[in-house]
Amino acid sequence: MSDHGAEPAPGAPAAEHLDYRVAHLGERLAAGPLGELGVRVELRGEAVLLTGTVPSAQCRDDVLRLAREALAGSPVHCDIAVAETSAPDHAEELT
Amino acid sequence: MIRVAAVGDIHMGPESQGVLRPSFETLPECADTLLLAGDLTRHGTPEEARVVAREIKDLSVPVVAVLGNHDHHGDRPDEVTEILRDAGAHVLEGQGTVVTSGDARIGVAGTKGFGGGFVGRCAGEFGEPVMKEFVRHSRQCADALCTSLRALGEQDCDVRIALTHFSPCRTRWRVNPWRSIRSSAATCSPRRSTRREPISPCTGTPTPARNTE
Repeated sequence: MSDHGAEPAPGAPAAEHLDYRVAHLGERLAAGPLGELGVRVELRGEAVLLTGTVPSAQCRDDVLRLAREALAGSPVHCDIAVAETSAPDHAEELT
Repeated sequence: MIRVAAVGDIHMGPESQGVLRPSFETLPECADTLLLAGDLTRHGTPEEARVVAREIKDLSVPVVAVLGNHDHHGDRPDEVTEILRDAGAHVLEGQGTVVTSGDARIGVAGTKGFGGGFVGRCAGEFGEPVMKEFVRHSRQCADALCTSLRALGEQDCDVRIALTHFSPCRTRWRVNPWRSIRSSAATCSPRRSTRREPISPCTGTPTPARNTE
């Protein structure tokens, strides 16, 4: 699943200190209301890539919304997976 | 053969009520016990704990759980623990329990665990008070797990399992050192026996000989 949204809006502020904004976004995701430590926020050239696994589609949407707000002016690519909740299809043998 | 179902990091909140229950209800067909390896809630609130409780209540396999760091975030781990216990779970922190399935006795020792590293790559209880407290908490978690596993060794268990939230395995550290270095478990646990070795369900691998996510 990949969402290539959030192209820079016309008139948006330039991506100054994008590496700091990316780091602050990671901190906000972890320490803010989402409490989300399972998402990685990485710079890829001028764009930002979100990866990881979250517990629900709502959580993924919340993370993407926050990222677009915090990184306005930079493209944000979302490759966040939603955790599988079905039973595993095989057992693992441990010896 | 002992069949163990194990899951962690389920991070449940009100929006996820009921998503795991269908899978949990199939457990009597395929597992002797269900282990929950921490981070059961998102923020460690009683409301979120009640979501987890409704997922596991009245399951016909024994449920054993430890809390994770998310379950402590709301500073109410005792309430979270009590809500899960009221739903029938054995919630462990530095303790062990024996659950049964037919004639099989399954010993589980559990702790959240903490950071600290491994032998040769670990922090020391030295310097600033906050550093000493960090390392001391890691060591206390590891020591309690070690003691509990040894005590289970005297209770005629068919298998002993070490249940932790923070990873007990160096392999995780090698895969992603910068993330893992903040959350590697402290060293501990008795050396493996040849027959009844402790197993780490959250990683699906036997617990390393001197290690305790």
